[in-house]
Amino acid sequence: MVNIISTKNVNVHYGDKQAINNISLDFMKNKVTALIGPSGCGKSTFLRCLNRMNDVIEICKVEGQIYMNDTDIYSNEIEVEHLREKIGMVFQKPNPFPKSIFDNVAYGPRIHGFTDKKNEMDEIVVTALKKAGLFEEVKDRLDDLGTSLSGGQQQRLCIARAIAVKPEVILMDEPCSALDPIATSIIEELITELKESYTIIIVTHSMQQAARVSDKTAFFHLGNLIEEGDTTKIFTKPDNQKTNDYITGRFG
Amino acid sequence: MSNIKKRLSAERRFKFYGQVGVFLSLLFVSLLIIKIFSTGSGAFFRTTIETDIFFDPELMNVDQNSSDKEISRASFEKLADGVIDFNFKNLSEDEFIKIREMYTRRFDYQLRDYFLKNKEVINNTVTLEISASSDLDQIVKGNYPRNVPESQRKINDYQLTILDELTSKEKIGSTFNFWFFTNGDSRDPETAGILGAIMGSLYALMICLVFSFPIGLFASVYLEEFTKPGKMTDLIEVNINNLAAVPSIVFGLLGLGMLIGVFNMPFQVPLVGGLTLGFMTLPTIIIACRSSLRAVPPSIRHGALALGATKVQTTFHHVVPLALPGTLTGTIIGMAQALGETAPLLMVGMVAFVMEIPGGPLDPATGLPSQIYLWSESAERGFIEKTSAGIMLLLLFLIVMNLAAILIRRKVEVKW
Amino acid sequence: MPHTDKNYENQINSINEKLVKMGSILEQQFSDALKVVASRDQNLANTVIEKDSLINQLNHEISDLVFQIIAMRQPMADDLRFLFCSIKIIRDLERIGDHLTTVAKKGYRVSTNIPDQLIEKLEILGGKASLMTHDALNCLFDRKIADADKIAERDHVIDELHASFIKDVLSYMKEHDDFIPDSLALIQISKGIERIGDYVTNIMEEVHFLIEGKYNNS
Repeated sequence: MVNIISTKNVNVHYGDKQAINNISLDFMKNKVTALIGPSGCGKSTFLRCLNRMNDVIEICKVEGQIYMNDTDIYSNEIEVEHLREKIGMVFQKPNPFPKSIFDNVAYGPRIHGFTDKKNEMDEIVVTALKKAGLFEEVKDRLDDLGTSLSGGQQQRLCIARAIAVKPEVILMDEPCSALDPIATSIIEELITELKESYTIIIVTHSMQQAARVSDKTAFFHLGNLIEEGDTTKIFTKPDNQKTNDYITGRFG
Repeated sequence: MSNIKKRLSAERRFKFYGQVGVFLSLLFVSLLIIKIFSTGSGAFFRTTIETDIFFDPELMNVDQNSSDKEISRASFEKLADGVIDFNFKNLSEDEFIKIREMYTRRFDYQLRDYFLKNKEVINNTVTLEISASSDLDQIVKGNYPRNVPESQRKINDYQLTILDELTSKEKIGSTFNFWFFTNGDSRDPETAGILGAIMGSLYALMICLVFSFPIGLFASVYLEEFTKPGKMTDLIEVNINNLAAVPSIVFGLLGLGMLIGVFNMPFQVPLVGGLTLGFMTLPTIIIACRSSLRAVPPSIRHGALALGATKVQTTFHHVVPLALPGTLTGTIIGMAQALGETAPLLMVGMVAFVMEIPGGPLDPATGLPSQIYLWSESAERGFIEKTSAGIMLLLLFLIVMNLAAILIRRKVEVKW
Repeated sequence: MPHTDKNYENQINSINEKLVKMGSILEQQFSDALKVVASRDQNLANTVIEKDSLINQLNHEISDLVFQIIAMRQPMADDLRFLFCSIKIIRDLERIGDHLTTVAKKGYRVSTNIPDQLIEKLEILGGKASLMTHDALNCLFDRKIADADKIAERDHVIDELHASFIKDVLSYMKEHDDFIPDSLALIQISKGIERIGDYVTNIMEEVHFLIEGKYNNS
C-alpha cells in the first residue's frame, strides 16, 4: 500500500495555544481514514493542515513536514491554489455557492482553466454529478440554485464540486453532522464508492460513522495522536486504554 | 406563581408605552405631511386669465416668414401691451399699469412661445389662457385676505374690481403648473421652477456616486478581506466610524478648502458639490459595505478557497456579489442622505439664484435642498407654497430612493 | 473508568452481577452434585435439579439485557467484546448446569454396592472438574489471560481421568454383569463431568478473546 500523504512531527499553534502536538500520521492511497476524538482534540485542525486551509487563520502556525506524493506541501515552491486542486475539501455545513447547480460544479474547473468549450464543461459537470450520485436527482434542473436543494443533496453537490477539479484526496470535515440519517447513509455509501478513485480523510464525531465507512482510524485526544490503525481493530480491540474509553463512551 | 400578575401587567404596560410612542410619532409625521401638502399643493396650479389676443403685425417685429431664431430674439412687449389695450378699452395710463401687473411679467414670453408654434395666427385673434401674476394668483387661491385696508394689499381695489369682473365673465381659470417642473429659478414666483435645482442635485449625486461608490467598495473590500487585523486596521476603523458622525458642514469646509482653495475648482458647480457630498457619504458607504461583506458567511469563502480559488477570485466571484444587495442599499441610503444635505452645498456655493438649467456638472447650479432654503428666504407670498412643493418633491425623491433600496435588496438578496 | 452514561454503566454492571450469581449457583450445584454421588442423597439431588431452573432464568435475563444493549447502545471495543463473550459464556454455563442435573439425577440412583474405589475415583474426577470450574469462574472476573490459558490446559487432566475411569468401569462391568445399569449411570456421570470440563475450556477461550480481542489458536 502506498502512502499518498505522510506527515511527520506536525505541531500547530494558535497564538500561544498548542493545538496539535507532534503528530506523525500517514494516509494510504484509496483508503478512507477517519479521524475521531472529542471536541477540541485537534482533528479538524490537523485535517485543515493537509490542504493548508489553516493559512486563512492569521494566528495559526504550522510546523513539521507534510508530504503529498513526496512533495513538501508547505515548501515555497508549492502554490496553495494548486495544492487545493489536488486536495479537495467538503465542510461540516453544506456550503454550495448561491449560484446554479451547474455553476457550482463548473466553478472549480473554470478557475483552473480546464476547458473553454461548452460541451467539454458539460461533460465535466455531468461526470462529477454522476460520481457524487446526484445527477439523476438534478438532471432536469441544473439551472436551479444550488441552495434550493435539500441538505443531503447540497452536501453531495459540494462533493461533486470537489470532485470536478479532479483531486487525488478529498478531506471531509464532519460532512454528515448537519444531515438526517437517510441523507447520512447516502453520503456514507457514496464515500465507500468514491474511495475507488480517491483517497478520503474524514473527520467525524460519530463513532458509528467512522466504524462504518473507514478503513483506517486515528484517535486524537488533546492535540495528541493516541492511536491509529485498522478500523476493525480500533473498534474491537484498541491497544490504548484511552481509545477504548473514548469509543465505549467513558469520556469525551 | 405569585408574581405572574405583576409580570404580565408589566408586559401590558410596556406594550402600552410602545403603542403610545408609535402613535405619537405617526401623529407628528402626519401633521408634517398634512401641513406640507396643504401649503404646497397650490404650487402645482397656476391661475390664468382668459385673454383674447390679436396678433397685430404692426406691434410685432416679425412675421410668419421669420425664422425661429428671429422670433426667439424678437421682443413681444409691444404686442403684450397691445393685447391689454385690445381686451380692456379706454384705459388711463395708471389703469393700464395696474392691469399689466395683474398678468405675469413673462406675458410677452408666453405670447412668443405660442407664436413660435403657431405662426399662422398673425392677423388673427385667438383666446389664450395667460398666466396671472403671483399676487393675483394668491388672491384667487385665497392665500391673501381681501378684507384688509388697500394700503396693506398688493392688489388694490381697482384690480380687485377688474378681477371680480373677469371672474363673473368666467375668464379666471386654473391650469396645471408645468412651469414648476420645466423652469429654472425666477424672481417671479409664478414662473419659478425647480428643474434647475433637480438637475443640479442630479449631477451632484451622479458625481457623488461615481466618486464614492467605487472608492467605498474597494476600500471596504480591502479592509474587510485583505488586511490583517491589527492596530492599523483598528485605527482606520475608528476613524471611519468617526467620520460618519462628522457634521456635514465640516465636509463642506473640506470641499471649499481643498477642492476650491487648493485645486482651484470652480465655485458653485455640481462637480465640486458632488465631490463634497462624496466625501460625506464615503464613510457611510464603507460602513454599509463592510457590514454586508462581514455578513457573507465564511463558509462561502472557505468553499471557494478549498477549490483552489485565489483570494481575489474568492472575493470577487463570491463575496462581493453576495454582499452587493447590502452594499447597494447602503449606497442608496448614503445617496439619499447626500440628496437632502444642504450644508456642504452651502460651503461650495451651490446656494445661489441660478436661472439657467444646468447642462452638465460644470455649469453653475443649485441643489434641491438649497433651492428650498432659498425660496423659504424669499419675501413673496408665492414662494411659500413653492417651498412646500419643493419639500414634497424632495421627500418624494427620498421615498423613491429608499423604496429602490428595499426593492433592490429584495430582488438581489440571496438566501443561503 | 466508568461510562459517562450512568444507565449504560449500570446495565453492564448488572450483566456482570448476574454472571457472578450464575457462577456461584453453579459452584454450589457442583459441590452438591458430587455430594449426591458420594451419599446417594435424593433430597440433595432434588435441590440440584430444582436450582437448574434458576440458571435457565438467569441465562434468559442476561440474554435479554445483552440484546437490549446491542440494539440501543451500539457497544464498541471492550464493551462489545464483553457482551459478545457473555452471550457465549452463559450458554456454556447453562449447559454445565444441565450436566450437573444429569450427575445429580444419576448419582442418587447408583447402587451402594458399587465398590468405593470407583466412587472415589469419580469423586477425584469431580473434584478436579469442580476446582477447574471454580478457578474458571474466578478468572472470568479477574480477567488474567495467563490464568485463562492455564485453566484451559487442565481439561487434559479431566479427559485422562475420565478415560481411565471408563476403563475401570468397563472392566468392573465385565465381571459383574448384574451391575450393568449402575455402571452405565457411572459412565454417564463421568461423561457429564468430562463435558463440563470441555465447557469450562470453552469459557476460558472466550475469556481469552475478551481480554485479547482474538482467540487463542495455539
